[in-house]
Amino acid sequence: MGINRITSSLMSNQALNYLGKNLSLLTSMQEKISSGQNINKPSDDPIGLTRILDLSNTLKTDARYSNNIQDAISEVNTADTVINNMVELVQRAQELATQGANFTNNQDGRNAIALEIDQLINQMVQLGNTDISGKYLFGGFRTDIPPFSRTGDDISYNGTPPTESWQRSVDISRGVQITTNINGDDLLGQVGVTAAGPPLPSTYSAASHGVFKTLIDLKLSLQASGDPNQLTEIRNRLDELTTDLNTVLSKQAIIGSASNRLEVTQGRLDERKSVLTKQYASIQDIDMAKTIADLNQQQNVFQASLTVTGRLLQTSLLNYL
Amino acid sequence: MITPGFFGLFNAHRGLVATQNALSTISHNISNANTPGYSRQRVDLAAAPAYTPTSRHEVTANQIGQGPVVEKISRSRDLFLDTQFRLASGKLGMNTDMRDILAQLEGIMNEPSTNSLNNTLQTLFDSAQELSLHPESSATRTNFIQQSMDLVSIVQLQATQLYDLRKNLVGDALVPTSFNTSQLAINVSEVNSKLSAIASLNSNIVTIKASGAEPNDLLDQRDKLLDDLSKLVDIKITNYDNGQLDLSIGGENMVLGGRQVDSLEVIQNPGPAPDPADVPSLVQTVTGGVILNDATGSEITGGKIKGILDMGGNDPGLSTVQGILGKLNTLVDTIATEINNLQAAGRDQNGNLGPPDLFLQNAAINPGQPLNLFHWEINPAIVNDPSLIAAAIDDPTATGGFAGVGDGRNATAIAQLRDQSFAALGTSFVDYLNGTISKLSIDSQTYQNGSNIQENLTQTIDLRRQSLSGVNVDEETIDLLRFQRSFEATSKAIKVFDEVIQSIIGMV
Repeated sequence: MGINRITSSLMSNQALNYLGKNLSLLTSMQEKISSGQNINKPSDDPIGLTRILDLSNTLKTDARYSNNIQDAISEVNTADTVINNMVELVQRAQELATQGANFTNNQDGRNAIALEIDQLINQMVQLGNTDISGKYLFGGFRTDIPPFSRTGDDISYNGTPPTESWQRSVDISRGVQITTNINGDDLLGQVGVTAAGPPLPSTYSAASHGVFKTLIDLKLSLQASGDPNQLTEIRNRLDELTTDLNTVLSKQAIIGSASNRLEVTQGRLDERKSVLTKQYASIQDIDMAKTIADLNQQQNVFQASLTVTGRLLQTSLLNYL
Repeated sequence: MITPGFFGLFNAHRGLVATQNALSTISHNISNANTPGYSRQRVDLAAAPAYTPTSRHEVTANQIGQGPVVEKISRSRDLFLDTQFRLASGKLGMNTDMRDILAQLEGIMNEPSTNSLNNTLQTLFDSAQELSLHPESSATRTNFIQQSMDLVSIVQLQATQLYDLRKNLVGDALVPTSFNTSQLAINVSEVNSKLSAIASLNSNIVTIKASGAEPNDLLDQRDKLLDDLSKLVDIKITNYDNGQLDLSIGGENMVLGGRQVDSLEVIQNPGPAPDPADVPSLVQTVTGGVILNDATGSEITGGKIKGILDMGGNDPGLSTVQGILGKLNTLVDTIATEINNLQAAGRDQNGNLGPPDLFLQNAAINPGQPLNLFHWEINPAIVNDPSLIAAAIDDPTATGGFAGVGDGRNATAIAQLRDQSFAALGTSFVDYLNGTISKLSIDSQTYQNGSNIQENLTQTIDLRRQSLSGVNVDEETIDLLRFQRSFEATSKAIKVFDEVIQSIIGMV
């Protein structure tokens, strides 16, 4: 600094300056250790701040998508189980129809089978009306009312028709959505009887189709005693049941693939979360050991400067006169 | 050669006087060793002009010394260092003030943290997503409304804090008394009182100098006032040999010699009010009404006052308080408009088209504030009836346009606002906010570094000054010994002369 003449005020000011600088270094280290974070206010590290704000954003958005996926997975898995049960019911109906078509059975036998078919239809209606916490799965957007209602031999579908938008979708990543529901009308159909046989075949409304129509038709055919075409009709129902089974199976495949996609996306999100969390920690978390070592060193420096200051400011010529 | 008999006594007398002067000055120095702004004084001794005696008995003429004479008492001061110091000090004042205000702004924005605006925004869009998954649930609807209320309350809290900060700095038109109590006004009145003190010192200094003496302590006082003044505002000084000093601020004369010709005042900006783009207060001269910080640029270029004016102003290149308020205003305006638009285009839980707006402007909240930011509230009708949230879209394929209670596609659209870019912002909500914080952080760091550098510079110059002007007690002690011995010796010489004269008188 090239100062030739040292005065008392100069010495004391210098001492104050250096002590002040040391103290402020100590305070900033203390802040870091107490919070465990490198960046406690934006000006600590502007570039680091931008990065951690971005990372934190992405982590939160990913967490949101994870949430969505979990929600969707629970719905999709429930639907999967339910449709599986439906498949079993249709297969049971096929067995019963085969029995009924066996011409050695008498009408009493066929009536008994018809009763069982009737029970089966009720079970199918119940399955179609599956809900999760009051939200009906197969009614499209009309989730507040049961999709199927049965009065006598009429089964009506009250959900969103397939001709309208019925797909409920979930955002699983930016700009990507997955449909999580199946339309009940597509799956099971509906039926309105205009004239029950005999004579067979019975006649139905234009909207009637699907496995419900086949089952009601089967029941009526089984009950139509004395009709000469009875056994033929029952065999026709058997063929229709095969088609219906394929329909249900295809819906099950759709649900299955949705479930797969959801699981895969969740896995990717989990991986990304762990990578991003590590990146975030590398910027924001302090290296505790290093910072404490630095703190100790700084404390020693401070201690030394205090000692030197004390010695310097005390010596004066007057002590020696 | 015979010199008049009392000659030696006169020399000794002069010696005593000179020594006494020196001792007084030394004790003055020692007792002022810790006085801020004090410059050490030295007694300049010189030999008095010698006396050449005339005598008809002389062959050669001798010159006899006449003892010491005090030429003057000078003070050790370097004008150049003083000027340098004042320049540096002005810059330091400005940098430090801006650094401190920027730190306050960082505190208000409170990033990075879990209680920040950033977080609240994210949570709002999260709740919209949740609503889209379960639009039939009144819990998710209520949650979405609650998050909207949180957003409004945190934004208004920050807005109020920012507004208060600015009002304390430079005043605000909504509170007319704030123009007298603001930091700006306080600093300006301090400037004025220093100006009048300098003017009165000036006339005293000129008078004393005219009589031939050195008004050292008055000069020290004046220099201290100038040092303090330069921290507050940048000044231009003209020195004259007769001790007079002219001072001007921002090109306007404030002190001419012994007269204070002008002073500064803070007035409310009389522009179209209250326009948030206006700088609320102006600094002008009292006589002549010259505005020093008008729109074409500030004539004040340094000191704490410049720092306050800058941070309280509207410079778009700096993270001013008003700048951040403006950005928050634009952000919330855009969010509210976009969500309201979606709300109006959708259907509520009962299938009704175009339910009422979610975000309303209520003039009764923070009345009088010009920015929309202060007046937002969540529509109380919706708070009381969450079914009015339009989670469903207006579906042309559906019967009656309403697909059903399970339709959450409008809520999905609200959630997807998070990723969209908007013309008013030039980017997405979160990026706009983060950009503002980022700029604040860079500005804050810049001024922290600037203050540190400027502080080091100022200290270096000041140390030089103290090296020159400070009192070294050891030095003074040695001088004390020296003059004390000299006084003893001179007294002894007087005793001897006394005996000589007595002898001479005794001869008669």
